Amino acid sequence: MFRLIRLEWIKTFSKLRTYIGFIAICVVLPLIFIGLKLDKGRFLTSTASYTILEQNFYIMGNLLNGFFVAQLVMYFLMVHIPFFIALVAGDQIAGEATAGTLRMILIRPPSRLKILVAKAAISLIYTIMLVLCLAVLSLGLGIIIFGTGDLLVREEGLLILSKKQAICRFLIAYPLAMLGMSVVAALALLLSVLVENAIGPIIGTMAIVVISVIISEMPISLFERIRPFLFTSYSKVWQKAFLDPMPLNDIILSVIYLLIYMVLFFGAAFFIFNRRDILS
Amino acid sequence: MKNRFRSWLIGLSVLATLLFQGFDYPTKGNELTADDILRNLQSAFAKIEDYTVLLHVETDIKQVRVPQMEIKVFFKQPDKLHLQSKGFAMLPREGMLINPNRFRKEDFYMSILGKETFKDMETFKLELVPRKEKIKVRKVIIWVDPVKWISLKIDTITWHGQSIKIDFEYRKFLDRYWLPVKAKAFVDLSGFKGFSSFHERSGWEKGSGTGFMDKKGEITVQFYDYRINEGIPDSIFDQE
Repeated sequence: MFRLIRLEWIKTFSKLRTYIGFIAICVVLPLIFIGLKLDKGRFLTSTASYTILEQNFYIMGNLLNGFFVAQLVMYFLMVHIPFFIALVAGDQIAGEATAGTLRMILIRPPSRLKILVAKAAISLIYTIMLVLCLAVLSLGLGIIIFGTGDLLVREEGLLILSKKQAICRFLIAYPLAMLGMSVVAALALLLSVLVENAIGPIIGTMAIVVISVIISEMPISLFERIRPFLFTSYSKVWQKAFLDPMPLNDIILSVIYLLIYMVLFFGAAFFIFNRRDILS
Repeated sequence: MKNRFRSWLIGLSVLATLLFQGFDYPTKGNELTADDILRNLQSAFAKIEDYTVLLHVETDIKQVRVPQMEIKVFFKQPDKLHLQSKGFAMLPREGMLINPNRFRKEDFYMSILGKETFKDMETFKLELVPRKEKIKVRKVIIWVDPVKWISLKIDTITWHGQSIKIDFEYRKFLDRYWLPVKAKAFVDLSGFKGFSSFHERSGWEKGSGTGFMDKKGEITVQFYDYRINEGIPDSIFDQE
């Protein structure tokens, strides 16, 4: 099994498209940070709420710090990360079919199930690596450029987490983000099993994600009944890690739902792939 | 007849004098103008050339959730102020760190709103309204102790409608200087929406909407470890 995973790893990481996500993060993050640095915190201090606070209070401490910008980047980039995940996970089976190598790998001794497990494992490893790259780079670069301090949480009212609390919350938020993104990887793999064109699963995954996000976010009563059935309603669970007090029950429930979705998507992918007549 | 009229006139004069004196006696304090009261506050405060104090700040406002804060205050006459904090800290801008010197005649209209009993003491209620819009407050009302010439209570209303009411507890230091040891601020942060402008939690936390009462609360400040008139180098106030 590990040999299969290693082979899939070599195949996946020998493709240029695998690195697009990492390159994008490495380019965008310094750009955002340089922009924020040159802005000298006006991005934060020009808000109406900050003005009200400053009129009434002496404000001390470095609010525009590495933790704040890392959290900000998480809010911004978590919307775009699914695209990079779909780019790799969606290519796993459909890419083989497009290249005409799918039949060839299936005539080898490992079962279809094992091959798909290896491809699912690579998709998950890639997802984890991408979020980890975002975490290390945004926190590392953020702390180098902006220093540390207490974390101003982008929340209703004013919520400040101490430095220690902030570190703990990031340690919880990133794994939760990885889980949320893993569901996207599972969805992309499911769509990848369904088609023979590598573009289809990528566009399909993004279309589903975008539509689900719209339904999950739009404050329309008609959507309220649909919302609980959409995985995007739970994939933002990482944001809850920054709340105080942390809604532990909500987080556990969201994690359970996300795991169910992941099992469902992977399960459906295995089921379809196992029964599918491979003609290409 | 003439003597009778004279004694009646004398009696009337005495009565009038007594009456005037009688009326005058209880309102003797009113002879002080708002300017006098402020000058008395300032001269009492002028005895303190400089001080440092540590503040322990606790906030109890539903919509403002911040850790307990420790702030070191450096003050030097006439209006040099420097605040130090290891992490994030917020402290009511108006009134908490009393400095009557900043209420200058050219900046504020002053008037006495009368006398009011506050904490079993008859106090002067002094109202200050800024002459210029650049001053951050719309109105300040100070309850002044006419014996020690200290501010027992300060109410502040800002231009955006937020208000802070601060009650002080004082102690005498070095047998001379009256300085606050505890202050309780009642804060109303109406209009404050917070920092969720990018990503609202729509639908996540039902019933967690920011209510009016959520923005009201208390900030308790404890002042300790005063160091008075020990000299503070000016360089401290040059720090950012």
